Amino acid sequence: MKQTSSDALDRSLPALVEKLKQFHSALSPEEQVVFGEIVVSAAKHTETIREHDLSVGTMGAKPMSVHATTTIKERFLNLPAELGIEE
Amino acid sequence: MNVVSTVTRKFLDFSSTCTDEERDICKLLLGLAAGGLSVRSDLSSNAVAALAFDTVTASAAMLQPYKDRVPYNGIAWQGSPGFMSASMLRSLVLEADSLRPSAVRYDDHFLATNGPVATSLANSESLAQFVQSHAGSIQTTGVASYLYYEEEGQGICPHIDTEIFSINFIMCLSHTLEPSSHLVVYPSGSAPERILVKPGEAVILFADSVVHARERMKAGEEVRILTVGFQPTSETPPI
Repeated sequence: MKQTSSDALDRSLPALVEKLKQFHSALSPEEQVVFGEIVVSAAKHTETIREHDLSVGTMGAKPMSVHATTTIKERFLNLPAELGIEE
Repeated sequence: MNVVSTVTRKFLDFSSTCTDEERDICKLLLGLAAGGLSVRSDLSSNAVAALAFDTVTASAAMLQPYKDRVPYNGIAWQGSPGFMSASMLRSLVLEADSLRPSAVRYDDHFLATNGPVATSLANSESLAQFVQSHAGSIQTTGVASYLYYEEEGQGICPHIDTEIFSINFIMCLSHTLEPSSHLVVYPSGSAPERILVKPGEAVILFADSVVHARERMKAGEEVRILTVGFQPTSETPPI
C-alpha cells in the first residue's frame, strides 16, 4: 500500500519550491496569472487549516490537508512571495 | 489552446519531472487551492479564479496514474450495495454510535477510526470484489473511518483525498431530517454535480483525482458516513 510520509514530504519541500520557481518563471504572463491565483489561494487556505487533533492517527483522515505539516504550512504561506507573485 | 489547457499541460509536464514526494506536495497544493478558490472567490463572477479552479480540477484529474478508468465525474458506482446485509449495515450504524464519544474534530467534521466492524469490512473480499467490479483493479488499504457532521455549518470545502482514499467507498449510515446536504463533485471541464447518497446507499468515488466537497449542514441536520479507502493497481498482475 502506498502511504505518504509527512517527514518525506518535509524533506522534499525545499527542492520542489526551487523547481516551482523555475516553472512559474517559464510560464507566459497570462499563464502566470492563473497559476499565481492557484498558489495564492492555496496559501490563503493554508491559513484556515486548524491544528488537527490526530490522536486517532493520520491514516483515517481523507483530505490531502492532513499532509500539511507545520513545515509545509509555513512554506506554503510564503510561497506567493517566494515565486514573486503579487497578491 | 486556452490558458487552462496550457497551464494544465505544463503542470503535468512539470510533475513528471518530480519525485513521488514532490508530486504529492503538488497534489496538496492543488487540494488546498481548490478549497481556497471556492471559499475566497465567487467563481461565477471572478474570471481568473474560475480559470484557476478549472486548472486545478483538470490537473488533479490528469495526475491520477489510472486516469483512463476514471469516469468523467469520478463516480464509478452509486446505489445500494447488494452484498451488504441488513445486519451488517446495522452493525456499522451501531459501531458509529459507539465510537462517536472518541471521535476527534478534523476541520469541519468529526472523525473516528479503528472500528473493528468497519475494519473487517475494509479488509473483506466481498467489498474488494464489489469495488473492483466497478473501479477496476484495486488494492485494499484496510483503512475505514466514520465521519460525523452534526453541527450547523459543518461540511468539507472542495478538496481531494489522500492516496489512502484514492478510490473511496462512501456509505451514508444516517441522515437526520429531510436530507439536504449533498456530496458535490467538480468534474474537469463541466459543471459541478450534487450527489445525494441516502442512508444505506453508497458511492465509489475516485477521490484523489476528482475535486469533491460535502455541503454544509443546515440547522438540526446530522449526517454519518462510513468511508473505506482503496488504491488502484495495474490491471495486469506482476509476472
